[in-house]
Amino acid sequence: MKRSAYLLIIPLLLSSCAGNRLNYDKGIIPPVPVNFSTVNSSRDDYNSNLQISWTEMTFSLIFSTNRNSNGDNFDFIGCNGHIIFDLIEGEFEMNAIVWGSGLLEAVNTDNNELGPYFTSDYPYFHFYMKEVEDWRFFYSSDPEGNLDIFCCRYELADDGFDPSGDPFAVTPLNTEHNEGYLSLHRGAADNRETAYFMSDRDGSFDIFGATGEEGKTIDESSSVTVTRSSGLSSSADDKCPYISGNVMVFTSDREGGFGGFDLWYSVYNGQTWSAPVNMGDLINTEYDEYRPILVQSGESYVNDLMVFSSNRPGGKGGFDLYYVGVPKR
Amino acid sequence: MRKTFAILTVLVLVTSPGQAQDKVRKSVFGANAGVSVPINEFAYHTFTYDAGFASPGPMLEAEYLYYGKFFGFSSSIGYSGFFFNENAYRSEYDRTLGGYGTNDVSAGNYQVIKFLAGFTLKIPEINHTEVMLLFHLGYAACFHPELRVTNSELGLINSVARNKGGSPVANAGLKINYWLNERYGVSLNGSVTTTEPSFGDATGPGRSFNMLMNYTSVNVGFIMNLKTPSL
Repeated sequence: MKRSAYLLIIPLLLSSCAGNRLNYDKGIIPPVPVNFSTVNSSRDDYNSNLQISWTEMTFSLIFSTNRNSNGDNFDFIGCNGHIIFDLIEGEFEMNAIVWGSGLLEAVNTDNNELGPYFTSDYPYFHFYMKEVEDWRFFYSSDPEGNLDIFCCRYELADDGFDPSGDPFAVTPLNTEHNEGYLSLHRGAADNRETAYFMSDRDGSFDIFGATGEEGKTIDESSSVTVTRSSGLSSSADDKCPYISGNVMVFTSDREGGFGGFDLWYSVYNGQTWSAPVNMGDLINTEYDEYRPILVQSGESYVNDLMVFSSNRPGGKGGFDLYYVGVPKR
Repeated sequence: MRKTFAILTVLVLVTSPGQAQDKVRKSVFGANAGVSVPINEFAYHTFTYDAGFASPGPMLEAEYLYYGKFFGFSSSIGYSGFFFNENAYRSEYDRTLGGYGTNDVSAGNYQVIKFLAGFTLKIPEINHTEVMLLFHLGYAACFHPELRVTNSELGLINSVARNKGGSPVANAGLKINYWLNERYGVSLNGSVTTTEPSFGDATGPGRSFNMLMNYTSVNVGFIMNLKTPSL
């Protein structure tokens, strides 16, 4: 009986070629933070930047860690990885492996390197893709004891990113105080590049906006207009702004949080930033949440991806990187 | 299968001498009602490949058989409905989303209308009772229920519109007829059916999918001999 049934099934199988029924129309990034275990160590791992190709489901990740100096100072580490979302079983994974990069070798020093921000990823089929013009790596370092913003241009090499020049300080943004965590605000002003960064030049850490010269990038501009963003800043410490599309995420220990540094967001309406909103108790804890970055996921996912670091219990030790899905805004 | 044939052969050899050897052909109409029970992947209630989340439902069938002492032909038209297990489906979303938000599932029912034709193998009638095996091939019009899953925080996360998929179908069954008199009788039937229709999914990346629908049916009904001497 069973054999006959199989014989009868054969023509049916031959006629079938489509896939299985999907239980999700789109991917869903876990709405509850997930420890980025494939990149974390028992040391402090934080301050990431991430570029994702959603079509290829691959990404490049750069973050700061003190694992290589046994806790003495922070250096950058780069990773390549891929994303998996099973539309049948609903499982989301981000896997990554560490890769070497000439760019990171060029910028890492015995000082602290923090707040990475790179403008273009390494495309998977880069030999066939249109050449991208914008290859800039911004970061912060403290060779003088206080954090300053630096930039290093880079180019694609067979084994990753290679520097195309020496790192240089973005002097118009720097003072004798701490400046760091630059993030570009694309499209904010016609023909003038706009960026946001943190500084404690006025006492506590605040968020500042900077607009470059017409027709020049912010790192090429010799004169930059810098203003404290009063709508985003508070009397507490407001740090690590990061902009993706029309949304800024940052960390702050202002009132209204859940303890320590919490993650907040603000939405740009084309002219002004909205009042900051706490990202809620699903993401924030009584411990520190730090340096969030946001990646818009386009049409393939229901929510956007945010990566941040936290010293909450349950990690591998110290600060760990976490990823989480957040509503599109 | 071999064992079944062996038993059938033995029964035929043992019983044939005692049976009338003259014209025993019958032209039989039958109507049956019972239950269809999904099996294999179609019955799975977890997020695995090909899981159908189907639960048992009602079935109706009308059939026509023409057979002699050992062999015959048969055809049928049948309807089977399967309930979509909304609770199990919602539980899987609760599990995979880690309790984020509140999930709501609304779904209709699977429906299958099948047209079958094939042959029968039978043993001669004993004590007004006939036992026969039926093997059918045919066409099935299958309907996937409308399916909507919403999450209170994420919105609509899955939807499939009600749509039809047609596909070949294979069926094998066992039928026991008991004749109350020369014209009327009752029957007990069991069968296994397999089909794999393709359904549309306009909101999914693949736009369509195949679903393996295997199920058994158990039913009872009445039979009527259309070829009695009085006719």
